[in-house]
Amino acid sequence: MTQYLLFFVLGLSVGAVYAALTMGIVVTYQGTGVINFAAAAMATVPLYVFSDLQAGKLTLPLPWLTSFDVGKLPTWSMVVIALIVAGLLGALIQVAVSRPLRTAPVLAKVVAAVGIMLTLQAAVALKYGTEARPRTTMLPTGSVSLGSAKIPVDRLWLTGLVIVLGAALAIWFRKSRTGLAIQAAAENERAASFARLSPQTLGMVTWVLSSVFVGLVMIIAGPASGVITPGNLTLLVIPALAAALIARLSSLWVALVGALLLGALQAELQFMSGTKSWWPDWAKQGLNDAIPFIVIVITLYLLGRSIPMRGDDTRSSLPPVILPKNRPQVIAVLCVAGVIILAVTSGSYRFGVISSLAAALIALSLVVLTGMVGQISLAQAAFAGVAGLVLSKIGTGVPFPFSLIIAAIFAALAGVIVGLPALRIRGAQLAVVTLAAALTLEKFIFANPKILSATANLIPDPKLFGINLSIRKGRDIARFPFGIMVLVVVVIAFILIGNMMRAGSGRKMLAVRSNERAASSIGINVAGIKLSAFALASFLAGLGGALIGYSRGQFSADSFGVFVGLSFLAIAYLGGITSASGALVAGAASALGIIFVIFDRNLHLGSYYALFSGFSLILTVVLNPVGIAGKTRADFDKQRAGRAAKRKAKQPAPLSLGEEFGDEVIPAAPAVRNIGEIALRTAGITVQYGGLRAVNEVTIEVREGEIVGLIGPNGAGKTSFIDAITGFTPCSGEVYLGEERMSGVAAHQRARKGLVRTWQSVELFEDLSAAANVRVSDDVGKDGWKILRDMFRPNPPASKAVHDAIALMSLGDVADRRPSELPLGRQKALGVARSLALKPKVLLLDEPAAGLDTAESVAFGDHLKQIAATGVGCLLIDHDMHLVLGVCDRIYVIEFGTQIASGRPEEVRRDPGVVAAYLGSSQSDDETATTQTPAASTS
Amino acid sequence: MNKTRALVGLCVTGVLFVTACGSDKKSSSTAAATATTAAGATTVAGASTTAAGSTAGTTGGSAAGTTGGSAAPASTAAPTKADPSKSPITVGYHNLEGGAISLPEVREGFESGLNYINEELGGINGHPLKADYCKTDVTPESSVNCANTFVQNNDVMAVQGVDPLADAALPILKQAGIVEFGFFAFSPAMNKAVGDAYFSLFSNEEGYAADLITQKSLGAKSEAVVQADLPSAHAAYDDVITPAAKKIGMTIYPFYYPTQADWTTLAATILASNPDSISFTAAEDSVCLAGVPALRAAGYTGVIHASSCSQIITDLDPKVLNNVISHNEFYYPTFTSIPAKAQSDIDIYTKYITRDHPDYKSLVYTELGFHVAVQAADMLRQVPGDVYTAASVKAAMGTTKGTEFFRTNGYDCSKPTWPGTTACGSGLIFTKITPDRKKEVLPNQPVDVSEYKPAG
Repeated sequence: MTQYLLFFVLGLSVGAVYAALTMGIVVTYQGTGVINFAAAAMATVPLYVFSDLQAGKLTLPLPWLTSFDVGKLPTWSMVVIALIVAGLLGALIQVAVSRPLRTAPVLAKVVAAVGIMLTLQAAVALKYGTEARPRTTMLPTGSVSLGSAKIPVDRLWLTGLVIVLGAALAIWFRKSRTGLAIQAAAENERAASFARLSPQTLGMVTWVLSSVFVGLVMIIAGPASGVITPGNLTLLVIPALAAALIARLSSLWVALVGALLLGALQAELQFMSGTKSWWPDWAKQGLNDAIPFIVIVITLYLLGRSIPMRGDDTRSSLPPVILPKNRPQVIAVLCVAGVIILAVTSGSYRFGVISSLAAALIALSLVVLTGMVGQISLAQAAFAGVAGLVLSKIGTGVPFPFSLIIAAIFAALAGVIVGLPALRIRGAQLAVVTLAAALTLEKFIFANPKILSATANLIPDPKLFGINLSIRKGRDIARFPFGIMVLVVVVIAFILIGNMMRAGSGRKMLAVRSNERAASSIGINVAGIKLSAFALASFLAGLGGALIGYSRGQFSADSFGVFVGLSFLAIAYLGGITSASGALVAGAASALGIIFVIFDRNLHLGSYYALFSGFSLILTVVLNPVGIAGKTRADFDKQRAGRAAKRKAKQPAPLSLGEEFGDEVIPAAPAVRNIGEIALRTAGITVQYGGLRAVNEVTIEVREGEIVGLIGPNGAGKTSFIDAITGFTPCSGEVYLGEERMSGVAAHQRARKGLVRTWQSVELFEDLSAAANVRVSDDVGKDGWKILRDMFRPNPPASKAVHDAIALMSLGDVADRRPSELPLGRQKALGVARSLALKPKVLLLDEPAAGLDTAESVAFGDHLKQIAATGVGCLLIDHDMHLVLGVCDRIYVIEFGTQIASGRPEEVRRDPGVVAAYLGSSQSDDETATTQTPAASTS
Repeated sequence: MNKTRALVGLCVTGVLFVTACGSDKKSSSTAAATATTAAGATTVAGASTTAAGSTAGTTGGSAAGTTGGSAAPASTAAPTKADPSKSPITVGYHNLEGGAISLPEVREGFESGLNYINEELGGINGHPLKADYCKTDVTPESSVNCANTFVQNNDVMAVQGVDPLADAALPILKQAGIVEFGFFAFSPAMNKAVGDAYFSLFSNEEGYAADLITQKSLGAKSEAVVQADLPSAHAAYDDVITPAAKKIGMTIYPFYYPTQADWTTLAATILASNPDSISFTAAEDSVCLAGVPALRAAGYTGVIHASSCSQIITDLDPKVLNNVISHNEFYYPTFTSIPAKAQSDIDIYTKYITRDHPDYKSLVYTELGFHVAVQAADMLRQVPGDVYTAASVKAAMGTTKGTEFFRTNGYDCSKPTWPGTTACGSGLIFTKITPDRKKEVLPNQPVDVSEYKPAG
């Protein structure tokens, strides 16, 4: 027991180092939105400054600036100088990188952080050398006895100091005006203005504070943070990120405690795995690195939600997607160009072209997964590695190209497994989880001697119909046939993926990327789409990894490590992660890609190459946060649109009707609405948010063809009721659609069965055109099959339901426009059209008239009657009493979650309770009541 | 790009048994060299002991029974310059430089070695010896790039300074018929690429055996073997250490340190098994700098084999270095006694390195770079027929024999010195650290491992 206690205490001291980094990461994330992968690399700089000061030299991390002899300084002054450097470094990053990227997508910030990490590592190596430097502690030394074990006193001091410093930081963060402003800004930058602090100021505070805090602890930590080398500390960011995940990148207290316990857990595991005979051999490899991550992922998965709750910020904020058009002539030109390039190059240059093509597949996998679905993955290189490993294991047992396909399928399986957490974890947290997955693959699979040979993991040359497709033969290091084979695979992959992107599957992916809740509400299986995307993307990465394997002739695990994955994400983003052409750019910029070869052969940057690469990464992302290909394509499209506009100006302008939907005619309304059987019935619906009962035993009925109102003051629980019966929030009670029980059925399944809703806040898919927003309804279901179908037969004609919905809501003239380009009234109409295209049995309309003027409201009422006349039961929530009283057949009224009245409009209007609670006297008395638009409901 | 393994540095493949990790600083080494020269060189006891399969080395002499060239300096012969009218022979040279781990000193030593060859040894049978320099950064990609470059440039041999991920280059070199040569096989595949790669020193396997023999000779009955948590290290434990320990009669406790280790915790873990001795069999300086003080702080006073780390000598308190031993592949000026032949080699090296790179920072790295150049030239001189192509060089490599620069043993590439490996040489030299920060050779060195070699 004494031993366990000893390792627990020792582990806490290591956890103290993690805690400093973790808290620095959390503070930076809260203040700037940057997941600072460079946190540990940044701490290296003050450590080197401190180390040189101990030797009597002041060496600032500036190129061409020589060291100053300063003699022997007091320790405190050395610490202060080192921390000033740390603070200046933080300030420099804020000014040069973070501030310009303040409004850039999260992913741009991830890439920038990777660039900072690379740049600092290279710069430090050049400035201070790569020789390891030992550490000594400045804390009291000696040991205290714990039974037979001796605990180093400096470790106890370290743990104690970090707890005190960390607690002080956490209290400051929670109590101070600046700390509160930082937290507020994390949710909403404008909120920060309440404290009269600009985002720039907050960014500066967080960068400087986190740099100094981490630097201070690292200096104090001494040997607990390891010897100093340019890269040694960099790796500490991985456990720190794990602890940051426990803290959900927000709570400093959890970060502090979580990191301490993580260190303790690792120490205990190390002790047990190293000394206990009962510990299995297979579980020793990579244990310390992987197990804490596995625990964290499982925890987060269990705590996560399959569908984000109201108020959860899940917007991807990625650049707009540029869908490939796959014009045959363009493809033909590109193919011919590819063949010519392969033919005219040779040796290293052709090898560079081939490597670029293979890497482009890995980048394309990120286009699918991140660009299309918004899932940030740092594990794509690891998936590529899985395929390479499988290929080496298959050997000659399976002939090419089946070996290639099998290898990619294994990668896809790995992708699905890693994708499982994505079903409940989102955004930046998912990025870190995939990093954990990559680490686990690297440590448990790629480094497992039971799987991988230490000496040779050869990959046999591909042969097809007796033709040798090997990469090399004799002194020919890049054979033309191999290049053609790779080109064919890449062209096929790009065409099929391009087809998929612009077809229904692509629309569903973009719908998920835009808004998971809205996607679910129209029947899209968000989990299915995510898993399909992980599988497809990992398959692509696997193809790339297998081709890289063929080009090397063996599997090299180091080509697919964690930091390689980061590198791939960075170049894919810079190339343009939302366009297929961006993947080609990224491939060219990859390791051993053609850009590297050109640089290597012609620009002799020598020792400055690493620094140049990192700096280029930062510069590119700062100057062009949407990626090279995306910007180029956008500029090209803008120019072309400008030319087209000029041409059109010379001709009579035709009415913009959209490509497919412009000629729709609004169908005439049926003369009579028939009220039929009960379409929707709820019984005792109750919604509880912690101690608040938002909906209390609400029971309603909606019949076929009937328009039923649900009204109540703000906060009455109307939207919560709709959330509950459509499966978006947990509830008790029963829901029946017709005779079918809906309780327990997933939200998207309820939508598919006919229980369809609209959203108070519109919730349209911003990445899709108006027509595509509606057309998504055609694409729901059979996700896997439809992905395959779309690859070969994209975009069959839209269904009649889609045409009817667009026509009914008079959206034909704006079919090609983005939702954000439409006025609010038409956005609302678009939301209704999107739901109608699903052919609902019951349509739940959440404040569809909010923001509409009187004329629009009247028109909407007409539309609603037409919808109901088709047999659809409608439940209308709105504050526009003119509309509600005018179109509804019956009305339910709720207040504080409880039903207080129901009946026909005139009955409700005269109900004293309703008048008192909601309508007021003027509404009940005035038959000519006009539109009431209370403040936006938050119920 | 930083790589996960970059910080494991030169031991990334878990086979590092040589001084590439070490870096005696110039300031101390230069002084030591002067002192050693002044004191005069002495022959190390037991220096003639060699492993089976290798020719018996004698101090200052060439390998017995060899008919090939000799790397030893022709101290009595007049220097012969290479003939500039003859076509140069170009080798490809790959070495870690410019990344997170950068060893430019290895290249500097190699460059000085080339100058020595071309200025005093007549080049390669009159042909000037040149090199295509290619930098690697602990990534397979950089090694592949170098191999491609060498093939494209028609280099006759690929010469490795320090490139732990050179395995990635092997298929390319093999296909092009270019032989790899270096002083030590850092990577597992290179260690096993018999016929395609040759290394002048001992094998990784011999290193493990020599460690056990030495620890046993110092009185240990049990040993904690501490290695990087890498597949090759696990494989070495299963395939080499366990059988050798059984033969020798020692109990082994294996420990594997993760990429980012807290050595205080690891030291406590190791000491929980209460071993007689501890060996960092293949560790780089950063591991020794952290691990040795941690073990001492935890109360361990027994013998620590600190791999070939040498930075600890200059950077750590001499008190923690008591009972710390290390192994060496060469004789260095920092030794308290040096055989005459090795001292003569060191004098030549000192002349060139101080002339060509007066600001060199690492004695150890430059010395090994120099060694590689001289050994490569010695092998190239043995290529018959004055025809220097990749094919002719590769064909001849398996017959080359001779003496070794900075060492007293000879090399013989006609048969691996440890079965199934690419090692042409044999013999680790174990030293202990003296209070005045020098290295004192232990008795019976180099270590004879012949008794513990597998048949083959």
